[in-house]
Amino acid sequence: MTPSDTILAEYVRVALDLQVFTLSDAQRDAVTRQFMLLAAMAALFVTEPLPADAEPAPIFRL
Amino acid sequence: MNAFPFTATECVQAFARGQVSARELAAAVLARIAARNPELNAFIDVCEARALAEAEALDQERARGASPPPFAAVPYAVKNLFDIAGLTTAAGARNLAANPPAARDAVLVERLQAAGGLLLGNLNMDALAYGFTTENTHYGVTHNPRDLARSAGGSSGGSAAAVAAGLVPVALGSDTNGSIRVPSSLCGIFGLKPTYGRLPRTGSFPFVASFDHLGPFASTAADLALAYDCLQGPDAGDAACAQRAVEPVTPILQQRDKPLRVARLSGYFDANAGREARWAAETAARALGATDEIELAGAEQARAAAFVITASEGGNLHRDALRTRYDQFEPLSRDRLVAGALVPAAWYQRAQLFRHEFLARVLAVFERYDLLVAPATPVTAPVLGQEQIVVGSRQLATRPNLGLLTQPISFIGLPVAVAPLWPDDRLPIGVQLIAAPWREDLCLRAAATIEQLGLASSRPGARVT
Repeated sequence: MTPSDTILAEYVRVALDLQVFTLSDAQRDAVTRQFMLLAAMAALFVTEPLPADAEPAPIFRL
Repeated sequence: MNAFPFTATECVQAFARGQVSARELAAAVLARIAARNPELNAFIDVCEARALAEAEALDQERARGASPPPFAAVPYAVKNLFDIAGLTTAAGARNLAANPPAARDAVLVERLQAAGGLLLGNLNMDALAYGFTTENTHYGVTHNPRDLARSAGGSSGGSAAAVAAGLVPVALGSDTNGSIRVPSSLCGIFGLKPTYGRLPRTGSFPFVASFDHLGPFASTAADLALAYDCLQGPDAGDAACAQRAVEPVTPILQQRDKPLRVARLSGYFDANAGREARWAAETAARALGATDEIELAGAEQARAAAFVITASEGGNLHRDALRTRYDQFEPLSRDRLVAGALVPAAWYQRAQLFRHEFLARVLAVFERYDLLVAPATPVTAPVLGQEQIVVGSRQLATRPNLGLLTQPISFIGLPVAVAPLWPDDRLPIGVQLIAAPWREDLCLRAAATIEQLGLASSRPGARVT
């Protein structure tokens, strides 16, 4: 695991406990792998420059 | 059975002319389902009594001299996330299978019933609509009618397989990230994902409120337009549903008043398209008179943001049940759902902000073009259980990547029709015909055009093995 992976794994461990998930170690490992995929996806857009007045959905003005 | 009408339009016409009764049509379709469904596993429940009762009522109306309604005697079926009165809406999930039966039909089912349709049952799907392959641990795998060893796509795989196999001429499904477009492409039929907010979701089981769309599958562009016209209209039960009047497409489907300004999407869409997918998009674009190839800046980020929003909203929708009944959830998606429930608010918020920005960029493109063309899937139908697909020189995990080309489009709610092309006479692949918001008419007219040119076809009943 890279240092970044270690941080993500620790985040998942704490977040699961915070939300009171009772999972086995194997299940926690599987969730951690999925979370790392989400983190890789998030890395693609979280630094994308946005206009200062950007706003979230609703996406269409009816 | 071959003597019976195959398309929805033929059913309506044959019934109106008195050439066939609704009961005869319902009985023929029930026989088709009994014969083919065991090898396809497209249907979960078959509503035999209801279909026969609806047919009987139609026949009685006609005997009294009433004009047939627009969808009269058309057999159809719906994905297992639409409410059907008297049946449990399980959304393909074991953890929901013990829920009480629905008290009433989903609004779109009510509309098709009012238009004279015959409801034949509900159809298999990826559990909770989270998947692109309809590999369902509880209800079993749905097989592709073109090759039973291959995936029908998902998550509306049962809907696409039922239409492609000729069990019903029309089916309804849902599309959050590509769940109408991916199975349409892999099964070789027409599909429509309308504009976000066009069709009401009232009475359907949700997945990702920000992206959930409902829409039809059919074996011809005309049938797709016919079904879509019967489904339109506002509904107060869905807060995202637009207050727009019905805008019928069928009367203008053949209209060719002025040439469309068409562009083919390159860049991200080429980089994630295999040889057949690229051929299909180039062929359709050329036939539609495309003048340019353009890139959608930010398509990769759009797909990534859709991925994160999906996980977050889907995970949080099921969070409480995941905490207490994790073992009952689909093994293929439960870890993703839990991971999604842990997504930081900063990622989710940023994804939604980027969504708005990406939409603004794409709306600017529609000032120059009426229609954009792209492949619907990176590859043709993969073999069931195949863990990786090959796209160019890259190997990608099959399940998350079949939606690579659809996710950036549904992310911003644009209307898309999928039309099936046949690159090598063996397996089909679909093209996305994408228009500006509320311009489903352009998507459907483009699908009809390439169908008339003989390039797009559902090839009824075609099967490789």
